[in-house]
Amino acid sequence: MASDDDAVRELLAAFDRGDEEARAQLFTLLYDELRARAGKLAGRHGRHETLRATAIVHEVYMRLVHAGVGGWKDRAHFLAAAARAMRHVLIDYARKRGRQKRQADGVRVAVEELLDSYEDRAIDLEALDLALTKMAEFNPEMAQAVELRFFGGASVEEAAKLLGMTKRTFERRWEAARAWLRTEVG
Amino acid sequence: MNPERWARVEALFERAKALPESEWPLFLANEAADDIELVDLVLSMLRARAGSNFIDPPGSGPHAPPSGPDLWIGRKLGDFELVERIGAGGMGLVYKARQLSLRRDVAVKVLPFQTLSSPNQVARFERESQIAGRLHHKNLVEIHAVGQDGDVHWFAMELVDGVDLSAEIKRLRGEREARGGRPGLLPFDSKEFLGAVAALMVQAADGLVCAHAAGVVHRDIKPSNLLLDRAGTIRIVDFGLARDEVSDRLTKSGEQLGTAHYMSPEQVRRRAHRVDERTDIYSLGVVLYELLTLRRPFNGKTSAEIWWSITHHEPRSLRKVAPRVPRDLATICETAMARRLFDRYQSAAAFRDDLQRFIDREAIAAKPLPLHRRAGRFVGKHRALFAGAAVALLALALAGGIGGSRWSHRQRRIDAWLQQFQVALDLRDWSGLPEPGAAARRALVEMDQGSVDLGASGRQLADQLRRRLEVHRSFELERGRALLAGGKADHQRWKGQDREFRASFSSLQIGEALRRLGDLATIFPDDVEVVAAAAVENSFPRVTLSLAAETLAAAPLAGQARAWRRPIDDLTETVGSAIDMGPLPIDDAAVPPGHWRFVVEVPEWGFAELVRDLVPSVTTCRLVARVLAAPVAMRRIEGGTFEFRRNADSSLGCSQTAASAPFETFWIDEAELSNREFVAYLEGAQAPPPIHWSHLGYGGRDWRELPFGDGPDADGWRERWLDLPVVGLTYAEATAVAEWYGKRLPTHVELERAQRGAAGLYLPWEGLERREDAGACNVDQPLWYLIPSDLSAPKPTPTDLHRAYYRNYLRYAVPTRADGYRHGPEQLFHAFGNVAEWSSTLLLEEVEGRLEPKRFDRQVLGGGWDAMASSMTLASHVRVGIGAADVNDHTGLRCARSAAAKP
Repeated sequence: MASDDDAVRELLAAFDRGDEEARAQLFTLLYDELRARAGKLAGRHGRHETLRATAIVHEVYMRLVHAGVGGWKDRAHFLAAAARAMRHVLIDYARKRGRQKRQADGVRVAVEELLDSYEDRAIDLEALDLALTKMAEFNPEMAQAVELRFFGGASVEEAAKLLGMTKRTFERRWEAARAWLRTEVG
Repeated sequence: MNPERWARVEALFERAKALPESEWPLFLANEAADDIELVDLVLSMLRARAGSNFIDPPGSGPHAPPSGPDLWIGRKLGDFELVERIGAGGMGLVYKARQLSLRRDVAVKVLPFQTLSSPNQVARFERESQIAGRLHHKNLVEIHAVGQDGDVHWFAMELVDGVDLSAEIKRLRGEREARGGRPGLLPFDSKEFLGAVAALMVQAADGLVCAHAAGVVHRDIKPSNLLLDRAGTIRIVDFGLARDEVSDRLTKSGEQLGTAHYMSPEQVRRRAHRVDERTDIYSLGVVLYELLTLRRPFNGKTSAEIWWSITHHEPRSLRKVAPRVPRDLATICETAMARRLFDRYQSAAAFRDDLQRFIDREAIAAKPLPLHRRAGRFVGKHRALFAGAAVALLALALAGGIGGSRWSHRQRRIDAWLQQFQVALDLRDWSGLPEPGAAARRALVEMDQGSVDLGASGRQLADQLRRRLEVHRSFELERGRALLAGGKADHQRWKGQDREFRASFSSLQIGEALRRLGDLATIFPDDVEVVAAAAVENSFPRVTLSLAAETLAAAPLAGQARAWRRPIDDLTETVGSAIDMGPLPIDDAAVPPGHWRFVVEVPEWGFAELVRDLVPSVTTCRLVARVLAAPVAMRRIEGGTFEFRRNADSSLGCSQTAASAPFETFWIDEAELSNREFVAYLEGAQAPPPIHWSHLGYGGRDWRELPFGDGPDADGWRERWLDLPVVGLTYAEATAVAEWYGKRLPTHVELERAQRGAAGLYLPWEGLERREDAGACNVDQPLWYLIPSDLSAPKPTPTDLHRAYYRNYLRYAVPTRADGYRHGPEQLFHAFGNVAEWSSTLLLEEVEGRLEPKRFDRQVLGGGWDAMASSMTLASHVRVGIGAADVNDHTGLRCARSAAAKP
């Protein structure tokens, strides 16, 4: 998606100059990117996964729009913001789920299913969230790495690139961070 | 922890992980002798590291191994050295391995620790794998050894050189589509195909016979567990390796879609006690179906959809899908796959023998199911109707005259009922007993009277059944009575402690008792003792009803007050006609268990409505009616029929069975109940403070003492609080305050009708685009701002959390009569948002194909101040439990009242 990188940078620049067309295009591009990512996260099996992906994308997208586009320098920066928004959406739902047993609304059910597949891998999303917040204090890079990888669906290569590390370093540090989180969440 | 310390942790972790596990403690103790805590931390990190998919991104494949090199290759487990990965299933990873002592290649399956999470599961795994290890049969993959290494369980088995049937089916599908793929073991289009498939199934069934004889049920027969080796022999793999609880977990994430297709109805319904060898027969039947047609009988996008199909739909007729399949083979397959246990082959041997007969071109034993049994799924839903039809059929048969072909038809019919009853008795299939039982008993009476003769063998069967009926009668009668007594005693004993849970538990016992006795009374309608035990009026809840002191003092004709009770239908919510209970006060009246609306009317004054769900374990229920004059600030809504118009998606989890529901004329509050009104009730009624206040760390009655003085909203929050909608009430608390105001909680239908209008709008701005950013739910900013910032502090207590959320409520909820918040066709305040609202409607749950009310949940409609407008409609509803644990700070109430005491 190298050409996407350039396109995003160009559009951001145009937007900074006050080009409203650029804003629209920018959002279309980012929306597609989000969709692709959410699609990957939700698996690719059919209608329900599409629904799940759409539900998630909508929420993440809304949050990003609210946060404003002004602050992003490039696509990498956007991805980091998206991963963070994703984390917030999921934690939000996880926390709510603790309080109300089940939402009958179709969209909510779809998100619940996605939540299940996350909790399958995180044991307890709320605890993970707290642990990540803690970790950000002494190991901010890896806290962001978890955000990018786990919540944002970035590949190892992508995440390493975004954090400016070699793949090897990333993997080494990831393993330690993961083990630490595991002890915190367990 | 600071960055420097973490750098040290990282370095130690990095160096230690290269060492064998046994050397970790020594190494770390040497390296960090100054810091024992650090040693502990790194040790637990090292131990937490292996074999988990913890925080791997969810799209990265089902239970993908951790990124990086496979940790298992080269490792030794017992006598086995892992060589290469040859497969990954839901349960674990399969490796090719070398058994060092015997120098042979084997397969080793490794179960990562999270798969067997409870001690029970571990114990079961060990027990069953031991039994499985003793099974030796040419159609079973032999287990060589079972072991444990740390948290990891593993077992070693024969390495089978071949393919599994799922690969074979995939290949066959490809072959059929491509016409000329590479030839495989089974050529689909060849003449021999059907015979070859039947022969494979004979082998598989033969394997089942051996295992079942040893008391092991597989529970997960599916193509990928049937290996086909080069010699064409079927080998069943993974026998007896406890997986049903595990697969529950796995299917939660939708990753085990492959498994759902082959589950039997009793597994889907989680009737664990009914899972026996016939479950394997069912699943093998599904495999047969798939081999013959290359389609799965039940399909769906998610496990839930597939499960729904398995329990609610008939598979497409095999011969319609694949016309070339001979009728006998189709019958064999359908018999194996029968939905009801007693319609299936009763043993794997019977299944195998019938398949063999088909191959040998002999007549098979199975008969196509008669229509009424195929339609078994209707029995649950329309049981009464079905029973009626059955009796009618029997009556027809009995009245059918004697002799000729009709005689034999009638004879067969009666014989069939006796047989079916006998099978049901044999299987202890209690739910299948009453109708055939009643029919069988009538048949027996007819036979006694000599009007029907089934010949010598028929008479023998009849005698046998008569004896068994007598045994059944005395056993069930005694058991029912004991359960009834036990349930009542339990309820008494646990009164006051964890009441919701105990009440549901003991009412289960009582419900079970009443059901069994009721079933018995169906079979013995003329037996006085049975009928008396089943018509357990003496076990009914007792209701005491009186007028509140204020009403007695104020109403001139209070002495002429009278009460009625109206049943609320659990399924449709329709309120039935009124049953007179007589003048007040009413003392100790026996009322059958169920959902009731009690109506108390004072002439020339008014009426009150009190809604109670009398679960069977309720022993006494004291009601005090506060009867008030006409309602104020309420909106009148004329009775009629409300069309829910739910689309397919929003019916997910929807409890409303009917597409439309009738309702009587009612009044509804214009606004949600405010704290001001709630406080007036607390003081007026001298009621105990809500449980939620003690969650907030304050259990007193004076609202001014609520602990928010130091919060960010210190200034003026008290004044503002009074106008906010009340939240955090349990169902009972909400009911109590509504009744104090002479009103009641609305039903689901009433609330939806009031919010959505006669036309049933979904959004207040229907016809326009859904507004993603609508401020209508009081949320005009992203929800994550609502996450309390103090949550990042270490370990918040429950009280901290409650307070944090409550502060958000103080900030974001708006006054109940705030300008600009009239919504929907009826222009109610906050029809959409602010707080969700209680209804008195029970949630329905699907049990064995029919809907049953869940007595400890209620429907709650609308969204709270924290709900995103974009994910809500006027018809949004959730279920909320009635217990104290389910109290939340976004659910409040709006009261209703019927227009007339009785229609």
